[in-house]
Amino acid sequence: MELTFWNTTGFNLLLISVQFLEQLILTRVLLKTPDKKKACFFMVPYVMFLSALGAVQYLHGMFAHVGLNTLNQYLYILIWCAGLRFIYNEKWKNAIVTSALDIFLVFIIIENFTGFYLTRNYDLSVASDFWKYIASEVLQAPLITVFIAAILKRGKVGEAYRIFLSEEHEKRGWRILILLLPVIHSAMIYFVNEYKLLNNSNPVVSLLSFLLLYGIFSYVFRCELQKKQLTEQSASLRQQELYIQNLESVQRDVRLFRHDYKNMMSGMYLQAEEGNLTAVQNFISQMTDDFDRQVGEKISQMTQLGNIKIPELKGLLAAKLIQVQNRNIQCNLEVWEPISKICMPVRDLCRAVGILLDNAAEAVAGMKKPSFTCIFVTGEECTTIIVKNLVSHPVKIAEIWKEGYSTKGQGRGLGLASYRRIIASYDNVFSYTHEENGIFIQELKIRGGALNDTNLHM
Amino acid sequence: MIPIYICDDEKNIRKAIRDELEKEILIHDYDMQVVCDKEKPEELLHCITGHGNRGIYFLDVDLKGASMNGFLLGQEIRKQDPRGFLIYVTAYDNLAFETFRYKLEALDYIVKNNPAEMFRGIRNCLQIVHERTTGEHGPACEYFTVKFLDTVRHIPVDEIVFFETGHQTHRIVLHGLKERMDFVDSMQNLETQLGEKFIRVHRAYLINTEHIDHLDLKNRQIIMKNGEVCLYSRRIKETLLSIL
Repeated sequence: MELTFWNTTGFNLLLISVQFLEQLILTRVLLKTPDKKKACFFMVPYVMFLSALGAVQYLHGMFAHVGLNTLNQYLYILIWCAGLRFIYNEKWKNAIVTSALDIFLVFIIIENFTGFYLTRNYDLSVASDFWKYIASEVLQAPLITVFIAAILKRGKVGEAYRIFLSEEHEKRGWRILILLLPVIHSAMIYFVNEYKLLNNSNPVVSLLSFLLLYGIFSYVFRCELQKKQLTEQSASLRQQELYIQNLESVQRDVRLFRHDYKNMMSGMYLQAEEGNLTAVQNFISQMTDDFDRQVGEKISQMTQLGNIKIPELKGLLAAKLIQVQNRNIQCNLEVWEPISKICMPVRDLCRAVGILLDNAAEAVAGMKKPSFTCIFVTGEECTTIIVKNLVSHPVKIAEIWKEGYSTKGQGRGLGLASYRRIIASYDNVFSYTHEENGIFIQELKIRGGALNDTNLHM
Repeated sequence: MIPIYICDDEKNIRKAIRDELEKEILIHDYDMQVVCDKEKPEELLHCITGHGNRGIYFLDVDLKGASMNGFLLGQEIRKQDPRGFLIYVTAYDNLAFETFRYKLEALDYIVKNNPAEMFRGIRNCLQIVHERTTGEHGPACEYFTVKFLDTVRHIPVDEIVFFETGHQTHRIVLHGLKERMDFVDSMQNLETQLGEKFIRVHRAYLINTEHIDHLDLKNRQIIMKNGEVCLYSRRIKETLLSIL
């Protein structure tokens, strides 16, 4: 068959579409599920442009040149980077790295992994070779992609990779290494193939480089991840210890109170015998007050806390309650119904709630009778967390989100800025901040359904 | 006139609340009136049916011998009068009231153990209702109604400074004088819903023209009266200049 610009473009339309889908599959593992509408919207110009370009390149024999070939990969990386920005709303610096990784993987899949059984290049002017080529690209390549995506998912590479991207102090070295992958890979093949570019591919080299890459990445990032998990776990453990200590102190108080109240009862018995009714009344009211003060408050707090069935969150709340108690601030915690699941990774949930509680405690500290309220409400559609406190001055709602804003001097005020950052990274989390009659209210709503479900799929 | 309803199973408490309310209405000349005080929740509901006005309700939480408690009664009342003022009167002060207050959007709860405290609470509630209904945004004030997941919020349109698109899909962030809220909607919808007072100055911003302070022509920014900054696109510049 004679290959002209038009029929080459036509076949390219098919091949590039398949390649686009492969990129989506890989990105899904690395980042998250794409916004389908936006993905389709981006796909049309993407496929048309690259198909035409590919046809020109093929007909001029540009793929045979190693330098041009590598440049071509970087062109794909740039365009796909724009795609990631558009489809996933990813930051530029994260989009470019992810794009490089995606394109690198897709290229070694379509150019190398599909060619293990080949002894020579396809000759596309021969019909049988041509159809074999098309079939391998359309059927075999997606299969291999799904397979590789599954490996990445099983190995929790995606999770580690997302942590790598969101790291506060970015690892610039690693980012640059990822960006250089296509060059390194092409150079490796170039040298192994003895300076001749056969099918501009060498499956064995590719496989080795893929495995090596996988090994390095999962080792380095897994180490990071484990370190992080370890510190978090030990923090959570400490918090849970506090919870147990608190329970034990309630028990101790009850024992003490029981002891006191026996003594007092015998006193009252005498007064009742004498018929001194006012003394008895006074005694009873004093005793109930004492009980409330000594044990009642703690018991009710512990019952509320007991309704939270997420260990990390329970630990955090217990720790915060003790913290504010030591500062003589009262926290009125209400958890009316048991809560066993909140559809947000528990690490970020705890960070967000911790910030809100710290903020409320900070705001009321120094007041005459400092107290704030924290309630958890479960509903069918979502879970609501509300933290509210009195404020002495009207709050400037527009200002409080700025990094470094604080009414209490310098070196503070990072809280709400990072609160917003946490919230902004979830599609199912909503916040409402308002002030009403001198009460500052923070509402956090987390839409239900299983994690990674419902609207992450939109 | 705002109708007031009372439901309590103890006769003397009912009377005490009613007397206090009537005295207070007389002193301050509030535009309110105690319409009925009932022992049974069914009777109260019957009383409300067909009234249609936004009312004030003083409800006992623990209604002895009745078919429903105060919270269920509150839910029933909400069905007929979604924007009424619910105030709970109760003997306990350690139940999860904040939770119910949130769920029923109750105005307040008053502890009735101490009569002096209770009366102070009642007076305070009336004052708040009075301020809300006549105060800064009178009855003619326009509200922007928004669904915030499982709740509905009403925000005075004049207090909205601007809307901005959020990072997440279909997310809008409302910037108000006293609030900031994210919700799901589209800019096109908001534009049609809010009318002329709001202009779409940028792909990502819909602003309340009354809150513009000045334009920063060099950086193509709009500085709002509360200090926040919005961007504007080139095509809208003429319109903006003609407004200011």
